[in-house]
Amino acid sequence: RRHPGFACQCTITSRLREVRAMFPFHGLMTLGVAIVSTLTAEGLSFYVVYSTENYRKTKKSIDASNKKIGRLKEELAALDPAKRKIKQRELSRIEHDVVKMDRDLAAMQSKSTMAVAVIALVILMTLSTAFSGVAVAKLPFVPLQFITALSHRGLEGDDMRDCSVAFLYMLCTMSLRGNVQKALGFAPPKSLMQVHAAQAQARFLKSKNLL
Amino acid sequence: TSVASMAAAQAPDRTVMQKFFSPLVTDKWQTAELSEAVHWSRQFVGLVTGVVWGIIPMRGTLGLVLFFVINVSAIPMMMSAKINIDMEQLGEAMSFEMSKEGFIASFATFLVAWILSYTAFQA
Repeated sequence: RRHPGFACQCTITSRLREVRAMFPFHGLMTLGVAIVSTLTAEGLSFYVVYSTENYRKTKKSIDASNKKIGRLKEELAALDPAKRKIKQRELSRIEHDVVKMDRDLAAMQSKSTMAVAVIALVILMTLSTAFSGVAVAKLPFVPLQFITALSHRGLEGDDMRDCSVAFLYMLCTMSLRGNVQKALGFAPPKSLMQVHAAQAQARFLKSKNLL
Repeated sequence: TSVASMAAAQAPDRTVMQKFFSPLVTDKWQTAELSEAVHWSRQFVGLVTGVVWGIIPMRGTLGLVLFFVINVSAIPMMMSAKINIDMEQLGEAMSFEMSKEGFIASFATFLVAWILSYTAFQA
């Protein structure tokens, strides 16, 4: 006769085996590769772009000018209408300079974006070769037709819920890049035009009582 | 009062995380700080929604639609419940221009979490 605890042990072992069988190793491996590649790309961007004197100087000037703009707007609000003209002219001049500096910063940032895209493409091609024909995950939805070209890339069969490594890697990179940039403080500040657009959108939402 | 005002002037600015998790009545939020808090709240909501959707399981377009609804409605509720801010400033931080990158990142986070947890628990 078997010990009563034996049946209990069998259930626990078989459950552990089930969990291990369900564990998405390939999916998590893809996520791991995406994390390493994003950190490497951001590290490279730091040395090539973010740590350069030009980038730091431009960013510092933009921050200082934005603070000046905020201070001038407060002063303008407190002044008589007759005395506002000179301050308004000064404000317009500083805003014009900030728009130019924002454009320069965006041009420097585009170098980092291109470098990241090249690294991502190289790693994607390597992963596609390594996982050729292997569905790394199961999609909980059937993607739209133009997305299946990516999500079912390199896979055989008609089950469109099979997820290829290319699709999962692309999603991981999209998620990680923005968050890693923000976490490490590399994210570029919002440009003056974006801030003005945001303020206009907020005023619109308030006018429609959507806030 | 002069001692208190000197102390307030010398007190270092609190970080976004400090202001969010231990809010004080005296905290003043810049729009950029609020935008950062909204960004991380969106990522958290995306991650949790994705994992829960994979466990339930939620399938199909309904899961995507519900995610959008939750993302749009939960963030203002979370922010106004947690910290005391001006709604116009929150509207500016949550406007399309300020939060489009955060929304795309949170959608990608949600999809990755949903796909991996669905594969783990259902496939």
